[in-house]
Amino acid sequence: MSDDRSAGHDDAMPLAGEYVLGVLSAVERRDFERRLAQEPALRTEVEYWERRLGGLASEIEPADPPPEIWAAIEAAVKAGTASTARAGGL
Amino acid sequence: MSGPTVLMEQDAARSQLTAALARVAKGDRDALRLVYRDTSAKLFGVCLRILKEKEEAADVLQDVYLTVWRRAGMFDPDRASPITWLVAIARNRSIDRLRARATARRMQPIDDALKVSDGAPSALAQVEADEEHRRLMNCLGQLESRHADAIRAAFFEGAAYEELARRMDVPLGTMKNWIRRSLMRLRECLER
Repeated sequence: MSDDRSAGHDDAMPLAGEYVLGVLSAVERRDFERRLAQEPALRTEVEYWERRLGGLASEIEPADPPPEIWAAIEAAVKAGTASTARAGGL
Repeated sequence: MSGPTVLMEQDAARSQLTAALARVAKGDRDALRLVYRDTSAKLFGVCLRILKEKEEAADVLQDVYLTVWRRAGMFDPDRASPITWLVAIARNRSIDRLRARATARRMQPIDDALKVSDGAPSALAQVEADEEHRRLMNCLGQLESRHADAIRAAFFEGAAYEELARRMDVPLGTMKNWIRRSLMRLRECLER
């Protein structure tokens, strides 16, 4: 589970940081997510940056969402339509 | 705002959230409600910061919790803290929406000012990442200030390379260099 940086993966390592940071284009994000689903080493790398950069999120002020949002979520979940919501990477 | 009490409260909040996510994974709607109650303001703040429009942010927020509903089983408390995991989902969904919007509207003019937070961490309750944040701030502080600005703009607003380059008035290649080098430096610094 540690640093499995076998050959061929190295080039993707900076990509993981770029992905988490949020600088990639839509196409680059999709491509990366496709690889992410298949390469555990990349997943580890993404988790690393999510943890490290995630600290910045403590600067973001919380804001109350509109009250109807929960109702909409609950309705969708009850109706079992959650599975039809857009799929995709995390 | 620190001290053992706060840390214990954070620990308790974290285990509570972890337990709730485990229940969500089993299809427990009440648990989803708990997760929503405890985290939606934070995640809405995250979405709003990136998308800037309330309606769109609310729409994405809904999508975020439906994603949580479907994927709670993938959350592994040994690999990530629950709030880190949730924030990552909120950021990813928001960035995806932002990119889709950019394609749809094809680039409106962007104000030149790189208005990001002044770097003063606000005194938020349940900030779980205090220690992580402090360390990161220290390492960001060792970067050239424009590089650190670019990193922050990317994180908080989900600004893509092209936009960062335009905002800061440097060639795209230069911006990519800045960011990649900064990530490398950050990593070295964080691992020290």
